[in-house]
Amino acid sequence: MEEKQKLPKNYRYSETHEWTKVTTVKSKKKNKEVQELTATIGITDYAVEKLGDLVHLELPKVGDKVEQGNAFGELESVKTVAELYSLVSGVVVEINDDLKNNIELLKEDPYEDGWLIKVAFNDVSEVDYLMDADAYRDYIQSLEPHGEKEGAEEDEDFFM
Amino acid sequence: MDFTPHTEEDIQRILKDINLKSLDDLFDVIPKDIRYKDPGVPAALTEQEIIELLSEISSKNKIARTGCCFLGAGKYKHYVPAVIDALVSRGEFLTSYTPYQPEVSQGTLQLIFEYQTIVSELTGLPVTNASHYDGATALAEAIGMCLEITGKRKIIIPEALNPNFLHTVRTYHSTKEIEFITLKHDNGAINPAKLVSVFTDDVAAIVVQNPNFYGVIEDIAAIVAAANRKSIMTIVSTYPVSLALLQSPGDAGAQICVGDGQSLGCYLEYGGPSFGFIATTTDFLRFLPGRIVGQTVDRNDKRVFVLTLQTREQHIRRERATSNICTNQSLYALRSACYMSLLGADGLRDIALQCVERSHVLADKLSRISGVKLPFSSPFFNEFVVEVPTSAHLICERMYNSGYLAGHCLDEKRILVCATEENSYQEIDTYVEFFGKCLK
Amino acid sequence: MSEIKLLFEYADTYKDNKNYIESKKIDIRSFIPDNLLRKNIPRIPRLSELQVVRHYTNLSRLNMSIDGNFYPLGSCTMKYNPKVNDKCALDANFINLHPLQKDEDCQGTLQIFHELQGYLSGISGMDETSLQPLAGAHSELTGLLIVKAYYKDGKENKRNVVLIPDSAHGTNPATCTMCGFKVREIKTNERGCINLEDLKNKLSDEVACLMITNPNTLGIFEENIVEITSMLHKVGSLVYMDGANMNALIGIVRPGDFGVDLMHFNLHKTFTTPHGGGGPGAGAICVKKLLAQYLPVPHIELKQNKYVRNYNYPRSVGSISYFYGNTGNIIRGYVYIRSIGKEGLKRVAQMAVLNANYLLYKFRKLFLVPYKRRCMHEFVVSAKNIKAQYHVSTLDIVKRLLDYGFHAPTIYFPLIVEEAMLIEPTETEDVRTLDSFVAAMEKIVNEAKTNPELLHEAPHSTPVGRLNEVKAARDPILRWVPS
Repeated sequence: MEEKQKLPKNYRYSETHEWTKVTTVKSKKKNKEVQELTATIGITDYAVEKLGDLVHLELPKVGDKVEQGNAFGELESVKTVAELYSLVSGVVVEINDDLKNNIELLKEDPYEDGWLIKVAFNDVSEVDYLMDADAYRDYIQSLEPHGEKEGAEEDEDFFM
Repeated sequence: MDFTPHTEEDIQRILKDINLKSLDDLFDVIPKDIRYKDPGVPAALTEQEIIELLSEISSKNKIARTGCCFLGAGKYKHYVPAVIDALVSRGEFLTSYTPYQPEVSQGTLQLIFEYQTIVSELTGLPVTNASHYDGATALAEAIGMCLEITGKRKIIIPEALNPNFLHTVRTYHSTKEIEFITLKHDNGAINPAKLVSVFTDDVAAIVVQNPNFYGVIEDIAAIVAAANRKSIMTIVSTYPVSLALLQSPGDAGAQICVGDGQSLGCYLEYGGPSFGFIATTTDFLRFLPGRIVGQTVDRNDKRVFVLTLQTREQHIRRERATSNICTNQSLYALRSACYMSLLGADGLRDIALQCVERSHVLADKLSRISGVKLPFSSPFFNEFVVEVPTSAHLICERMYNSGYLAGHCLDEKRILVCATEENSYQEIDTYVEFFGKCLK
Repeated sequence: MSEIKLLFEYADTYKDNKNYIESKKIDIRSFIPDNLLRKNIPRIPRLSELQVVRHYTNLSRLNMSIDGNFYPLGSCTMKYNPKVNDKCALDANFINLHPLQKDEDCQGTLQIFHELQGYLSGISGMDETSLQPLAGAHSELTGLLIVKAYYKDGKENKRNVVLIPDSAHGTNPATCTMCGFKVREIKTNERGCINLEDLKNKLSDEVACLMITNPNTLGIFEENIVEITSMLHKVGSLVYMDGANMNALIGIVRPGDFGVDLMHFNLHKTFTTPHGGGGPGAGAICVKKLLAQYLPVPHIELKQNKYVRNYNYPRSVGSISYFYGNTGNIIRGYVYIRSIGKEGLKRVAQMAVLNANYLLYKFRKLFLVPYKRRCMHEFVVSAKNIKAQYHVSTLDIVKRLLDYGFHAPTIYFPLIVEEAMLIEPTETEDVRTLDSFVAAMEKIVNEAKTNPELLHEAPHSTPVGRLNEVKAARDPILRWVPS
C-alpha cells in the first residue's frame, strides 16, 4: 500500500485509528513543580480515506471528561458514521474549532492542523499500550485484503 | 389468479438449467415432514368473484350520510378533492419504492421536499422529516427525541391529550424508566400560571395538544415561555387544518411540533393509513427520526433532491440509531401536497374559518336546548364538549338512528362534537332539532 | 429534461397580507382571541386544478416504478401490485368509516380484519395475529415489546439480550435498542447460515430471544433451523422471526412448525400492497398461544356472530398506533390472499424461488458468488472481481443498469459481503424479462472492461445525473425558501 501521508514518528496509534501526541509542560503550583500532561488526539489518514467524503463531526465540550477506550465523538461521512475513541482518560482542555467550518482539514492535514481534541491527563502509562508508527503501519497493512482470487470462479459448479 | 406469468415450458426450461427435476426440489433444504401443511386459506377466486365478495362485505359497514358526521375526536371528515385520488393512483407514485436511487426517483423526492416545506410553513419550524406513520406514533418518537436530547426522565402530559395518543406513547416507552406526570386542566385548558409547580429540574418536556382533545385552544405561547424559562422542551401536537388560523408552534417558540395529517386530503379509512408529521428546529436535526429529503445538484449542476443525513438511520447506525423507522408515508404525504396546492394557504384558511364558524353556530344552538350545557367557556376551534342531562350514549344511539354520527361519548354525560366544512348549516339545524328530540 | 418548478414557485411573490386571517363573512376575533391567532401567512400558493394535475403528473414521470420497470431490489419483494386490490380498498363504505364508530357499524371492515388474522396465523403456523403494526419495523417493535412483557410477567427481567445474526437488517438491532435490549451478534458460517458454535457460546440465561430472518438476507434457508429453535427453547429463550422474506415460504412451510414463537409479515412485501414511494405499508404480528395475551389491544374477535374490538387484555403491551392498523392496506392484503387462494400461495413461493435460481445460475458466470449453493427467493453476488480488475464499483454497475431501464438491486447489503448485490426477481416477472436483465448485466460487465469511464459517470439517460450527496449532507437544504 502506498503511503499518502507519512505517519509521524513520535505519535502513538490505536487499532481504532486514532493517534495521539503527548506534550509535557512543567509548571509551578503552590510553589511545587508539577508536570502537566496533554494528549492531542486525532485520526489517521487511513481512517479518513476509509470513511470517504466527510460531512459532520461531533466533538465534546471543553471541560467534559473522557475515558480511555470510550467514545468522545462521532465522525460522519455520507454513507457511514464512525465513533471516535479517546486514547487517554482525563478532561478535554481544547477542541479544534477550525474543523467546524472546514472539515476537510481532516483530510488535508490529519496529523497537524486536523487534530480533534486536547486532553489533560495524569497516567502517562495509558499511552504505553498504543502502537508506534511502524507497528501501526504493519497493522493497517494486515487489514487490507490480499492474495484473494480474482475473477468469477471456475471451480465446481454448484448447479451440477 | 396468482399473477405468475410462467408457462409450463418456462418452468421446465429453468428446472433443466438449474439441474433440478421438480419444483419440490427447490425446497429440499426444508425438512420434509414440515412441508406443505395446510395454511387454512380458501381456494382462489376470479377477479369478478372478488369484486362481488368485497362489495358484499363492505355493505355491512354503516357509514354516515354525507354532511351528517359530527364525530371527530382526532379524525375529521373533510372533503377530499377528486384530483387527489387521480394523482395518487398513478402507478409511478403508487408502485415505486423508497427513493434509494435518486436518478430515477425525482418524482417522489420532489414531492417529499414540497411536503416538508408545507409542514414547515404551517408549523413555523424549519426542519421536517419525510413523514411518519401517524400522529400518535409521531408524538411517541418526539418524546423519544426529548429524552435523548435532555437526558432527563420526566414528561408532562396534559389531561386533555387524545387518549389514543397517550396509549401509544405509553406503549412505545413502556420499557424505559421514565415518568409521565399528568397535568389537570382548568376550564378545559392548561393554566400556564400553574406550571411552575410541575416544572421541576428533572422534566425533559411538556406535551401540549392544540387544539386539545376537548377542542379547546391552548395558550401555547404562554406555556412555551414558561417551559423555556426552565429549559424544558415543548412538543405541540396539532390538527393541521387549525394551523391556517392559529399561532404556529414555531412562532410560539416550541421546539417540536407533531400531528396526524389525515385532515389534509386523506379519507378516514377506519383510522389508517394516514401520515404523521414531525417538525423541529435546526438544533435538533440530528435527533430527528425517519427519512429526510434534501436539495442538492446533479453532475450537470441541475437542482435535484435526495435522501440525506442517512447516518441517523437504522440501516447505517443499527443499534445506535435514533429509531428503527424506515417508512415514510410518501403516498399520503402526496395527498397532503396535492390538497395544499389545490387550496393554497388562503383556501386552507377558508376551510378553517368554516370549521370555526359552523362549530360555533352548532355549539350556540345546542346550548340553547334546555338542560344542555357547554362545560368549558375557553375558546375552541371546531370541536367542543356538550354536557347532557340524560345518557350521552342513549342520545348518540338515537341520533344514529336518525342518520347522524352525533359525536364521541367521553362518559355518561359528555359528548365531544365537531363540525367541518362538510356539515352544511341545514344539516346543523336538523342535527340540533333531532338532538333536542332525543333528550325527551 | 428541464427542471420542474417547485409548487411554491408558481406564485410570483409572497406578500405579507395583513388581512390573511380576516374573512368577508365572519369576524374570527369574536370566536378566538387575537393572541391565539396566527400572525404570518404560510407561503403556499393556490394552483389551478390543471396546474396541480400537470405538476404532479410531470413529477410522476421522473419515477421508476413496478408498473413501469423491473425492480430486482433484494429484500424488498417488489412484485406486481394487482389493481383489483386498490379497487376494493377504495370502496366508499370502507374509506368513509370513522374509527370511533361502534362495532355494529363496522362489521364489514372488522370481518376482513378477523379473516385476514386467521389466514396469516394459518400461513405462519401461529395461533393469533394482530394487524395493528403499521410497517415491518413497527411490527418488530411490537414483537420485542411482547417478548419484554412476557419475561417481565415471568419475573425474568434479567433476560435483556437479543441475539442477531450479522447478516440482519439494520431495523433488527435498532428495534432492540428502542425496547431496552442489548444486541449480541451471531456469526454467519461459510454456508451462509448461523454459526452453531458461535450461537451455542452466546446462549445464556440473559438471552431473551434470537431474532432471525428466514430465509436470511443472503437468500439462504437456515438449514439447521429446527435444531436452532430447540437450542433456544432449551435455555428458556424465544425465537422471533423477521418475516421480510416470507415470499419464499408461503404455502411451503409454516415458521410455527420449525419452532418460531412469534414473527411478523410485511403486507407490502409478501401480500402486494403498493409501496407508495416508501409507504404506507402494513405489518402483522403473529404469535404462538403463550404470547397471545400480550398482543396489542384491541384484539379483533368474533363473538356470537358479531365482530368486536376487545380491549379487555390487561397483560397486553397496549396500543402501538393511533387506531387498529393501516386498514386500507389490510383490505388490499385480504383481497390478494383471497384472489390467489391456497394453491396460489404455494405457486408464488415456487415461482419466486425458481426465478431467483435462474438469475443466480446466469450471474454465477459474471460475478463472485460468496455462498455457492442454490438460493431461495433472492441471492447475493459480489462484484469484487469487477472492482479489482477494472476499478468499477458495484455502485457504478447498478447506476449503469438504470440506463438500461432496470431499477438497481439492493447494494452493499448484507454488510458481511463486500461489493454486494442482493437480487430478488419475485414471482411476477416472466423469463423474457429476466433474460433481458441478464443481457443488460452482461453488457455492463463488458463495458467495465472496454469503457470503465462510461460506468463511472453513469447513469446517462435518466431524468437527472449522479447527485452530489456530499453537498446535500454538509449544507442541508430541507425546505424551499423564497430567494
